[in-house]
Amino acid sequence: MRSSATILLGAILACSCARRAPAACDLQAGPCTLPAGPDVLVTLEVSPRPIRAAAELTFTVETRRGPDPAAGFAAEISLQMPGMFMGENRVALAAAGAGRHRGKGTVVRCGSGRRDWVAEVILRPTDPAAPPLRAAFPFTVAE
Amino acid sequence: MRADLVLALTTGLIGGLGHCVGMCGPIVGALAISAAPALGPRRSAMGQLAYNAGRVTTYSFLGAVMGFAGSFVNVAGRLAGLQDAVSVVAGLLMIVMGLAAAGVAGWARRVEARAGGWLIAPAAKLLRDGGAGRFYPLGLLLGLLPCGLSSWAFLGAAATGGALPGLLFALCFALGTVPALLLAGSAAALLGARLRGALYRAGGVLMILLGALFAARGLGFHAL
Repeated sequence: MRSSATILLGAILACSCARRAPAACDLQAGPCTLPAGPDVLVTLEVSPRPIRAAAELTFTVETRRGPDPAAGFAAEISLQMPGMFMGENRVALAAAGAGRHRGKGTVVRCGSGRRDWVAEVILRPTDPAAPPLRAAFPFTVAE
Repeated sequence: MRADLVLALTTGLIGGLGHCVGMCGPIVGALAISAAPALGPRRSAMGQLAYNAGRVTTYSFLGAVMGFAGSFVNVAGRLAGLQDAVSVVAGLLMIVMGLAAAGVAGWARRVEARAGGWLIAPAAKLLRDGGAGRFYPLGLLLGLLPCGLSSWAFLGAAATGGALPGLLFALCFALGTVPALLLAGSAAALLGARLRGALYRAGGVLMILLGALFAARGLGFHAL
């Protein structure tokens, strides 16, 4: 029973968790890079900095496969607060060059004063049969 | 029904249970517990409906303003100070209700007469006198409380780019949040009508603490 629960919990965590940025990487300080798949690296930059709630923010995503830009994806960002449902806040990203996407969005202000958010970059391959790639970047808004 | 309005309604429904009950539940709970003994179950339920109608009205109005302005950031920036003030007012209201429930109404009346009479006196009168309809203006006011989930709705309303679609988007969201808060309020009213003596006073102390938390948040003490 206990081992079944452990396996179930492990499976849930393995399925639901996108790759998270290492704690050392801080979007408030600059762009962060994470693997989104076996051979795709995603770099996310949010500007202007400091990143504030209830402000218009520009999200820039760059995808690379080795030294080259990784093309063939549509990109969007889902903004979520861990453990608190805050609605589906999606930032649509438009292509802005080879392997580059950009869009504008806003992080809402939480009445409780919490400031921790996750920007999950979702890369949808142009091949509809291929699964989307994801990378989750935790960050803290300045206010 | 348009897809964006369905999204707003379902977000309100899901968020009502997953977000609003946790964040705004203490307010509706405090209102219900303090009003239940005086109003009785039926009029107490009417009071809950009136409170939610007020909240829905404010959300719809703000949605229309956001849609008309076409910008969440500009309007939200202007509202931020007002929302903090409403949070303080909500906190003080809860403290007044809590003091009355905790059985220290005499002390509350002295405070009302001296320090915060300009605010507490009308609030206390609102809570003591009148029928269920008195909760409508309270809902109007407390609909302005800073809330991340309602901000999501206003973000969506702003994106519609028009006053009417913005109003409809926020209205659908607000209506979606009503069942969960009605449920929370009704449960608290039922509890309030059954609680007696020390337990009722303990509920009052809890209201005071939650009121202090809301007021502190409004004053910018977010570490609490």
